[in-house]
Amino acid sequence: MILSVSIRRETIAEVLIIGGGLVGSAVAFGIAERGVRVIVLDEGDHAFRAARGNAGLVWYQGKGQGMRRYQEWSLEATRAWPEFAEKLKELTGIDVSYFKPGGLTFCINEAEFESRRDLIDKIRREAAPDGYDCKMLDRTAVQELLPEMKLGDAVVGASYSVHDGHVNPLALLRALHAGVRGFGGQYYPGHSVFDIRQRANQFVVQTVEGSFAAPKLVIAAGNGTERLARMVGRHIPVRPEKGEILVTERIRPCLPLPCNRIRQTAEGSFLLGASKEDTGFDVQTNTRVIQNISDRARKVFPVLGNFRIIRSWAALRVNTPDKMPIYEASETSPQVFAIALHSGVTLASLHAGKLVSWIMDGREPAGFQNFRSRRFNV
Amino acid sequence: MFKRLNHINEPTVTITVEDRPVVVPESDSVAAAMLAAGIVTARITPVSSVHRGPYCMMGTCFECLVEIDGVPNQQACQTQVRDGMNIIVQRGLRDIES
Repeated sequence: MILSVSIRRETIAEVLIIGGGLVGSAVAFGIAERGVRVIVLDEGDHAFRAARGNAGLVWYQGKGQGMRRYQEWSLEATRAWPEFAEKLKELTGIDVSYFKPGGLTFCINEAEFESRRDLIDKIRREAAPDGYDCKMLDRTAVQELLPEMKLGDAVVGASYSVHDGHVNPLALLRALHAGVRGFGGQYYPGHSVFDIRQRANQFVVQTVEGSFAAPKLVIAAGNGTERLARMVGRHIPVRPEKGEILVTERIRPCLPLPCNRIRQTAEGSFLLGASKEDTGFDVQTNTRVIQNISDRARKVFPVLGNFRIIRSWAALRVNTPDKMPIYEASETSPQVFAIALHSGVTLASLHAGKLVSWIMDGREPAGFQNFRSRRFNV
Repeated sequence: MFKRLNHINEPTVTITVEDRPVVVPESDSVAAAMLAAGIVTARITPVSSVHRGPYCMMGTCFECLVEIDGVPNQQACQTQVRDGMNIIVQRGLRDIES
């Protein structure tokens, strides 16, 4: 009898990261920068990639109502962004087109304006004194900020924060990957993970392309995080939320501020978006939703009706039950971390920095207990 | 540069490309007509100001953008010629109104 023995090489790393999107790649970037041997395992092109489908806002206003720590974390992230963008340029040569001119969230009727004002007031009351920088602007004040874009009659006003900005999210992802490789880290696409086991002081991760082992494991796999975290006994509830985006032809720059549903990219295209649908793992675009996005955008800026839409797509947001981030760490060795959140673009500046000392040195940022997933087990 | 494969006796139309009258078969796309007339620049890119011409000829690459009868960013390969059509090179980004 002949035994067929398959011997598969096991690749060893100091830190294994499952997920090559914006969260996993930012963390990998910061860890690799320290000279630590890090391996990023990513899926292939069939993956649901929020990192490649998002609108690219680096956003603060409106976030964190009900959890002050998240509001502060978002502020800290937007403050770290200018230096982060420069660092990416310096280390990778890639300009991620980051701009921080402040941002607007439009209200196109009185009820929307009132409810936005209530939300902003609530966050301000929860924030540290002078800790929340966002205000409501009336229509006239908004129009003054946008001299070339005539507001539609429906616009009542907008909320405005100086901390908001935008970035090219694809350039960001490319820069992070280039940085990881430049620092000697490794990125493996097409490595879907189907099993994780603990063996002595290591986690052994099985992928379709071979196995990997490391004493530290970071699970940052977007909507796949729940399934993967279950393999190491952690409950990380996430749920996909579909968003659709329309892209126009390129136009001379005329919208100086990014807005929460409308932004003009550095190359001139307008991105229109911000639909929300609960349709599971479905990324089909829907004509009715596209119509709604375009109707609303034209209510804000009627001139958008002149521009041709050249592309549209749908992608899946990563939502936790309360829409706030989950940062989870085990106390034991080998150590596993799980990260699940919506704002991988905004928070990238911290994920590549402050979060690295949490993962590598055990220095948990203040107030991080707020982000543990046990808040859902009450 | 380009030669037509056949000479079917097809009615022709006259279009204007950058102020130059061109007589072409009426079934041509704007891109085919321009290439046959030896005009290879459709647009000058907004990012790096280089000249680009029709590439995929099937509506995918957006390299052949031209301004047709005052409407900017038209895909030359997806537009059939019409008598009297006025075509100019798309120079950089279109403006907000047009």
